[in-house]
Amino acid sequence: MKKMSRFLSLILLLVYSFSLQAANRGLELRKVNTPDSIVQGEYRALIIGNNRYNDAAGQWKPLNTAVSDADSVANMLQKEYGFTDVNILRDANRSEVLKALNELEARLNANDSVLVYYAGHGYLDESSSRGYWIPVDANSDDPASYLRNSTIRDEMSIIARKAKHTLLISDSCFSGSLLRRGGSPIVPKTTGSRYYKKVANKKSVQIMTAGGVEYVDDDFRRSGHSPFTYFLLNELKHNDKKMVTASEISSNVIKAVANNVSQLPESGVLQGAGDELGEFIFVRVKLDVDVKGVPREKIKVIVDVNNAEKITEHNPVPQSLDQNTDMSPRFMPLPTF
Amino acid sequence: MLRIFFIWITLLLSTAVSAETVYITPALDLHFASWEGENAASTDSYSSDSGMLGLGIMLQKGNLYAGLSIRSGQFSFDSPAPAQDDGSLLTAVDLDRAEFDLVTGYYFWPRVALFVDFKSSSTAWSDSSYKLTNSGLGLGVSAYYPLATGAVYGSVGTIRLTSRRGSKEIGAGTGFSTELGWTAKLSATIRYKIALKSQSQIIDFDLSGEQENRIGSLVVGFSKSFSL
Repeated sequence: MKKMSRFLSLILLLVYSFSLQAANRGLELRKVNTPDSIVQGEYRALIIGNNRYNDAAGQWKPLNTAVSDADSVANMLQKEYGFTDVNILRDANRSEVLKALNELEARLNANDSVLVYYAGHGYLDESSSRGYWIPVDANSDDPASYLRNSTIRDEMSIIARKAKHTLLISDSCFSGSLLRRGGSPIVPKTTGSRYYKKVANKKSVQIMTAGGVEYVDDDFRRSGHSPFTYFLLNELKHNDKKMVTASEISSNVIKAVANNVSQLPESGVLQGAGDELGEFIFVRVKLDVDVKGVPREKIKVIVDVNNAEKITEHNPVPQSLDQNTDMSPRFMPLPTF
Repeated sequence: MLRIFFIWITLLLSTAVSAETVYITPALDLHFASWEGENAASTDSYSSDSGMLGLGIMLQKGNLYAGLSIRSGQFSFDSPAPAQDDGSLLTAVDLDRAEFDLVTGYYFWPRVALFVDFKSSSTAWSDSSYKLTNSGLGLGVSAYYPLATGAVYGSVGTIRLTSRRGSKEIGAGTGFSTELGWTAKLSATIRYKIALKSQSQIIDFDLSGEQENRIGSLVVGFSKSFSL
């Protein structure tokens, strides 16, 4: 038995070292922050996903996919887009959301890019046209327990004052009421480094919302995601450019969602928060590069974001698998008796 | 049963031209197993530790999956040992155990699947021609939850078993199985898993009465996915 325990320990150690090796394998990436780099500062995100609603009156029923939406968005931002400060709130109550927004604000520096994502119930009071996010501790008999869109806008304005670029993505019912349309920036047909440099230098405070004032379906095509987040993740995953703006992403998400479900996402800017028609820029940091004759573990890549869109990506992994590197059912072991 | 299963696989593959990709995942498992049990005479309890080697293959398309798994290993018992169905007890015996599973399941919820498993487990006494086979159809539920860089997964299931010696039915019983494990990526297509698995089978033999066998295993496995 002693021998067996030793053998087991050895196996576990081997597996652990394999994982470490895997984590370090592939490409080492260093971002070059030259004085005139297009994107400077840190990428930070607050990601909120609410499934476990506990409303005694039963109006706010539990959701299936909001937490998985939040997890996948966080995973995507961290692994593919180099977000270094990602705070995930799962099943957050009202005070936790406000506290996290305050803490995020406290961490900000002048050149930072900040993304706030919310997936959960939303509500529109038709008589007053007030919109709300619904935290998990919301009581449908007491709208004061909701989070008013005006409060969210205030918090976002405070964040926007400190950060260079701010993007709010709200995937909830009736999230369209968050928008006060200030006009979306027009995306030019061809976007080069000049364009990115121009919009990166201007302050941006943008919003993407799931569906105007329409109800948002849950669990689209049994993907474990809402339709809006499904297509948002799809766009981020299939983006083959080194840099892409929030407007480019939202333009495609709007089309894809509208083509597939009866829901029309919207995008715009947060009025009165200092938007200068700049753009939140997603910078893809995960590259898979092959160099003929050089073992993959020896390849090191330095990305100069000024010229980054000139880099050609090559992905040797079958496309269909690479698209699903997150945890999905197909990666689960076969259950047996 | 095999024929039905292969027709099912063929149907699954034949629809590969549609939008959904079919994934094929071969897997290799090592089981560090401990076999314990009691014979009908309740004073006879026995145990043995051994390793089992498992091979499997799984096909998955959308929410549907099907797979085949085999594993085998040899367990050495001193005295006592598991009795044969007529109560005969051999001491210092090596038992070759082999298990065969044909599984198909469907994710009815994003992370929860129901599955059916046709299982056949055979035990052969190495110094005689005696071989016992328990087989039957079981129903189970499996689930997973992403955590950090991997996922915690588990399954529970129950099965109704018929015991045979050759083609002759010699008893019947029930089985119960649970598995709880962790899986994560080593690369985009290669994964590992570490799991604890527990199987129990209680067979009521026509000639000698009830025998209970329990196998607890630590499972370490690797798999690689391909798309078709």
